[in-house]
Amino acid sequence: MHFDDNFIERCLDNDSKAQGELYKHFAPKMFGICLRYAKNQMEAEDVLQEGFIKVFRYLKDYRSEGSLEGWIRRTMVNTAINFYKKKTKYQKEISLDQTEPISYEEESAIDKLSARELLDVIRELPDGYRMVFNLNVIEGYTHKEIGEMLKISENTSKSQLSRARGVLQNKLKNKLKGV
Amino acid sequence: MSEESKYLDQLFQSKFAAFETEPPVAVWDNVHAELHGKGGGSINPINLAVLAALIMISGLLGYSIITNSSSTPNSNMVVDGQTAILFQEPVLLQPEALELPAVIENRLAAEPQKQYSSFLPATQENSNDEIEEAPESQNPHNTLHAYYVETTFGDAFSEKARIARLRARRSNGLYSSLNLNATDIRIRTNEYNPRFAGVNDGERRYNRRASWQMGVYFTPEVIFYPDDSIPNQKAYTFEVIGKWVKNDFFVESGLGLSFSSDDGKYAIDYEKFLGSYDDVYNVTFDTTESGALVPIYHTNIVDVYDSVSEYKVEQTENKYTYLQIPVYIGFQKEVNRFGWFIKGGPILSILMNENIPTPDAGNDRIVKIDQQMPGRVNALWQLGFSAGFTYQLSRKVSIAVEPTFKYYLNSQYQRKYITTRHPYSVGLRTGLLFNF
Repeated sequence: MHFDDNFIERCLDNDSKAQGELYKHFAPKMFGICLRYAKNQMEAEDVLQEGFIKVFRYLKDYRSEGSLEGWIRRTMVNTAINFYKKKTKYQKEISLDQTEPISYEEESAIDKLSARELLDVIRELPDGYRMVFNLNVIEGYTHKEIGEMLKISENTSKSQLSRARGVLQNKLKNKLKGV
Repeated sequence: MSEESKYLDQLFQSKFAAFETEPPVAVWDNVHAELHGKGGGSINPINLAVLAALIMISGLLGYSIITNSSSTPNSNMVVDGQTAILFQEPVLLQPEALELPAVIENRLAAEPQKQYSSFLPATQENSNDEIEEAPESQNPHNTLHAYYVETTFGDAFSEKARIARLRARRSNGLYSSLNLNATDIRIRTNEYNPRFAGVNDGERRYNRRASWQMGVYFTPEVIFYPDDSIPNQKAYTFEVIGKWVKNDFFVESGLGLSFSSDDGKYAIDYEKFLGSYDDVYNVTFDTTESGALVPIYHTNIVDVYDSVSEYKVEQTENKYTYLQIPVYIGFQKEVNRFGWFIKGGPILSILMNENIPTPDAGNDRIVKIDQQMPGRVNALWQLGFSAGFTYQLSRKVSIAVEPTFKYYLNSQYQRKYITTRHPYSVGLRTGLLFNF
């Protein structure tokens, strides 16, 4: 579906039908992103809801140079980051057990895990780890950019990513063992 | 980056590259409502259900009170074989009333009649003749009559009446199957059997009158948020309640004021105050008396701030006051001065007042303030449960102590910042109950 300037104008004019079409087109993909950043389904719904409210309110700021999907995606990620920042006071730190390397057999079993199953593993990460992992590994932001976004130092971002990988590795191995 | 890290990264990247899932319909409803100014969206079904339950309870309570007060006082006694049930209608002992659908096989004895004859209307005195003529040997119901008279007109039960009642209860299953609304009297020959004397009085099952109590309570409680790392919060509640007691059951409701607080957290972007200077915005000249020309500088004090923004987190104490309206239904038992009870019901909490101080930045210039502690919702529902005991200090006053548990049907915080949807709290409710 192509969303041209005319369509965006209709959204800006508060045309319910146009807004509904835009939402229907992008919501499933954006909800997938929100689920990765949120701790649970309800939080993801909240992020999606607030994210789309922002999308429609600030659609006038969208410049047609980049893709609309990319712009909406960034809005969702920023909304998720704001949620995270508001919860930073309540962070739980977890101790990281010794990580063991993943064997070849385990790799092939892990490959068969669905996105939903991996999502469950990501959600078990502490908020900070989950943010950094998502931003760096999935979205492709650098540690410097992540540091600015989350108001943490570059080194903190790096160390959190490293710990996130370690936790994920252990959790995946446990999942295979059925723990 | 290690091989394993690369593998993990590629795994998650590939799995989530095209990951999509349909969000619930309610999300779009809320977005649409927000954009098109339809306020808070759909009605919460839980709120609706609890409201319906409250209305139903109030209706039942009201109906029960009205029925109880408007029905004719009915104090008749049904004696069928060895089964006795006490009602409340003295008029049924009148001879005329006995001619109703009643089956009368044995007239009242002279002695018990003397006890209550003074309470009867003058028109009924003629019937006393017949009653007085009845020989003592044919009137084995003296004890029941005494029981009736004392229950109707006095405060205490006689020993004989108690024995008669207990004997009747032990007789057969008719006790529970008798129609309590019947207005007839069936009295048949019945002999007093001392075998059942001394049975525990605490087994009373007769229909007791409803009574009212008023209570004042204080409850300190701790609120838990299991899915968040929010520190456990303390709340203090003062309540005034009314309690309607009927037999072993009661309904309790009232008003309470609950005071709680939390740590307000503000993320502040600010520019540090470096100092100030006098900015000359105009210069004029004047001449002195000696003719010398002097400049006059017109200045403004200008504060200077660091051009680099800094970030800090300020903490304040936010205070909240809630109006609480509980409606409890419970069961209680009393043995001598002690009693115990269990109860449960919904509690509506309405935010009446919030005192949220804004952080003081001193001389620094605040660029942006971000309140990080979530705001509170205006109304919330809880389900309260408690079990406790009472101790009668005097005929009119009892003390009550009850540990409480409250399950929050919705959090007092706005949903988007707090993961815990259903906090819970434990507390200790203590107070005084006044009997009427």
